[in-house]
Amino acid sequence: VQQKPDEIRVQIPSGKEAIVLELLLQVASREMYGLELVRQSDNRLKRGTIYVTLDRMETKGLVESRLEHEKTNEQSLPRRLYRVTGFGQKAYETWQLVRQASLLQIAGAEGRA
Amino acid sequence: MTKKKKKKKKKNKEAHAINLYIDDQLKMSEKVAVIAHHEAGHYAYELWGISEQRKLLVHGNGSSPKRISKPPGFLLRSLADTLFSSNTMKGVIEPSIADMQHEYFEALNSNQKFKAFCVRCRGYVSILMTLGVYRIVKLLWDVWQNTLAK
Repeated sequence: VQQKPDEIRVQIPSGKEAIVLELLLQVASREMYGLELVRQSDNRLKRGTIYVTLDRMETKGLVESRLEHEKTNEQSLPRRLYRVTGFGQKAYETWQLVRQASLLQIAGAEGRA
Repeated sequence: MTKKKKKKKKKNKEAHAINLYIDDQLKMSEKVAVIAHHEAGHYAYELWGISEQRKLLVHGNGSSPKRISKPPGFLLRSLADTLFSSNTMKGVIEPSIADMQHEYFEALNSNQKFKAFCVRCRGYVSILMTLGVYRIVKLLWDVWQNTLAK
């Protein structure tokens, strides 16, 4: 029996994940916290879902996070800053290519019709 | 009751109130500082040795006793800590509470108390939504992973 070669699964980010990656890649420092992402997204991201999305993206390896410099005397918890990983950047580029291809396909189908 | 006795009773009542409020909310050094100040006859209305953020949480004005409230999300965090795993706490709940607290303190810093109140309400709603969404997404994710494994 011929063995199947190991499949290389390419993770294409979902729409929300792509927005997060796009925003993170736009900023110069490439580090943002959850609420900042919501503010920058022009209502494309919601407060109620952003942290779940970021957590899932971190599990997938698309982003990595670190705690903001912790001040011991402060009352509030330190914020978590997120940034894109190399894999995340590649996944975003793949997502863009897939999107362009699907748009071309749609345009072609409309042209034929 | 003479005027002097009334005054003394009022003083004792205030001192009791101060001690009650500072009982478990201040660190030992702060507590000592506050009591020392009280003994000097100033009734601890000047709180020093506490962070700027903590000063924003001090309530009461004039001659009324001061009350130091906990930052928003304190109770929710301790409640969530008993219900969710440490990974969920670290990845989902704590970042959302931290962002809410920073926004809340920003509003208090600019003396916008109504905005701070709105931030607090909105923060609680979004955290509760986050927890609901998290449960649903995790369930779907687990189902998806199990399907792929088969």
